[in-house]
Amino acid sequence: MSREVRFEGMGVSDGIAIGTAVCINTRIGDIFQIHLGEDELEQELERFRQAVEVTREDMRRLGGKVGEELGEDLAGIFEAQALFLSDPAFIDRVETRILEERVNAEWALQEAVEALAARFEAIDAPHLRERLEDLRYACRYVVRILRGIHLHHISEIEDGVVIVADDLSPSDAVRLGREKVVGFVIEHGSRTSHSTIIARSLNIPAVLGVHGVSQALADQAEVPILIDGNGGQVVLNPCNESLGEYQQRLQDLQKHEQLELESARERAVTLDGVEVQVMANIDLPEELADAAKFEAAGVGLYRSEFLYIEKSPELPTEEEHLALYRETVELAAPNPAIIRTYDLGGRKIAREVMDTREENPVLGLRGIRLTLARADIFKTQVRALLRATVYGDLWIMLPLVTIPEEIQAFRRLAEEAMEELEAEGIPFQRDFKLGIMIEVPAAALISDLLAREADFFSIGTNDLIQYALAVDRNNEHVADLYRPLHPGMVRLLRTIVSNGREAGIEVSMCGEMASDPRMTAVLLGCGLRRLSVSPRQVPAIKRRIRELSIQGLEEVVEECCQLATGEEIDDYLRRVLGDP
Amino acid sequence: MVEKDLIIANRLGLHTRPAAKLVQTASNFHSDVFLQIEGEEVDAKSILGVLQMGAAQGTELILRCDGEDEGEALDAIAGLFEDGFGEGVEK
Repeated sequence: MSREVRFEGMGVSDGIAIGTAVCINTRIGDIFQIHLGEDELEQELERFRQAVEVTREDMRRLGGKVGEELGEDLAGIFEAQALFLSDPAFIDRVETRILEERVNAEWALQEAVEALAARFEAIDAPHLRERLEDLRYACRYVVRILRGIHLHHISEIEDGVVIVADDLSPSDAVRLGREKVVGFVIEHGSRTSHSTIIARSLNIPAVLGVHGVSQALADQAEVPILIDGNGGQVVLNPCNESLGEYQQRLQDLQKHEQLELESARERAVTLDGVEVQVMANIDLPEELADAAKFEAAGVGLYRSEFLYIEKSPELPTEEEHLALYRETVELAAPNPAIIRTYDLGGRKIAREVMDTREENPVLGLRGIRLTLARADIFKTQVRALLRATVYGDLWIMLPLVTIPEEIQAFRRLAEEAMEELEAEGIPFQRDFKLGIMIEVPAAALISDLLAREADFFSIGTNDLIQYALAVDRNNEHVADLYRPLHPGMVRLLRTIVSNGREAGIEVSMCGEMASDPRMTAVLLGCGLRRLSVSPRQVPAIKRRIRELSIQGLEEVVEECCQLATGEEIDDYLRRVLGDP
Repeated sequence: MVEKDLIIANRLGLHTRPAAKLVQTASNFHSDVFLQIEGEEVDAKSILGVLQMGAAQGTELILRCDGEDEGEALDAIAGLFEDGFGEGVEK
């Protein structure tokens, strides 16, 4: 029995996981160059060919198994990986290196892959770079076989699986999250990376920044592992005492969740009798169940991006869009479901499908700009949204609007789509609500003008803070300047809410700031009565609302606006409100 | 040797899935199978070669098969192109 080893990382998605560690895509570690004698070369070639053959067999077997269980699309990935290893053009390169440079197969393989990678990257073709990952994966597998380590696939493991990876792409995280994965341990990544957001969405505990863990696992199979996604602890080969402790904590957590669930069902009414609507932000269809469980007052933000990410490089069809929107709207009923049109730029879909590449994508063709620029592509989404209006109370929301003309242009696009649907005899509701995200400071400042065109506002704080404070929170050098309670932010929030109120339209907030109970008092004081939060945060935010009185909060916010720094605001709030 | 002029009809061009299908089909035959695009020739049995062409929708190419089963190979592969690799053909 191996000894217990502990690691510290950053807990980014709460919860306790007890399971078996499974490494995926781990770096192979150092590959050494070993020079061989003339008489060893033939044997080395044979060793290489055997490893390739074993890998191809494994991939074929895996492809079959995955195909049966998870569908042909995923199986195709393994087939493509196996194809590289059947390609004489590639195998020849490696064998030539072994013979001419008289080196070991691992080294020759790595060199061949990297030479090819350099060539692929020089060619201006994003689809090749993606395939390079397949090739690299296949080669890592061969190297493992060469070293006598057999790599298992998670579908073979019976217990809860804790994925241990260097890094995890969003699509991997989504795919794995749907299997029997109970935890993620990732060597790199940040609190705000996509993997984190997905882990939270799927309610799977995750710890990031755990250096050295995959190396510690390198020579062992089926290693028991404990993770604490809150405190950031990871324990390999736990002793009985540690295991007992985690089992107890898991039990406590489940009990706590049960209590939370019961209190979440009640409405969120302040001490002085004001009801606040707490809605749910939805990234993945899987989260709808949580939103329903916690009795969220509808869906305040449905991010439509993941459908595109999942289907990439193909585009989702109108029927695929419709199926998702219908499910969302029906689950939210009788409350509204606010669905945001596609909001990603400078990413996979923009690069692969639309062939745009930008120096500074954050300030580029994204949000509503991309939608309007590629109406040919996004008409499909607009038609599906319109068709989904017959199943419940669907509100359409446009991201990154900065000028009224963008709303007008979208209305024209929707009008076109409605004419088409009418001509085809497909039903829809003509009087749907059309609103906008307020996430650019200039839009916040002219929200009185935008309110003439929009039926509602939703404040997207993640981008609003980034643009208002000129801080990228993923940049460690400036991350401490990312302060949601910067006085400038509080002033912007007040402006938006009061402009919306004056125009008589709904104003809600759907950014991460809404999910933080420490912010709730300020948000209510700004006049917000509708917050959309991640589904798991619904109980905590409702609880916080029940502890507060609206009376006096406006004055508290007024006072905040007069303070000079975020710290002063923090101190002041702590003094008048206590710690939440 | 037999050859045929073809055009890539499926919307996304020769991306991974069609490329894999092409290579798998070509590899079922003994004949040499080549694709010629704008004067450049690639081995249709090599996934690396086919992917590097990065051929988009509308690209014209010449399919060339040479060997004992060249006729069958030509028909089978041309068939793949003609039905857009099962992804539908947009005119």
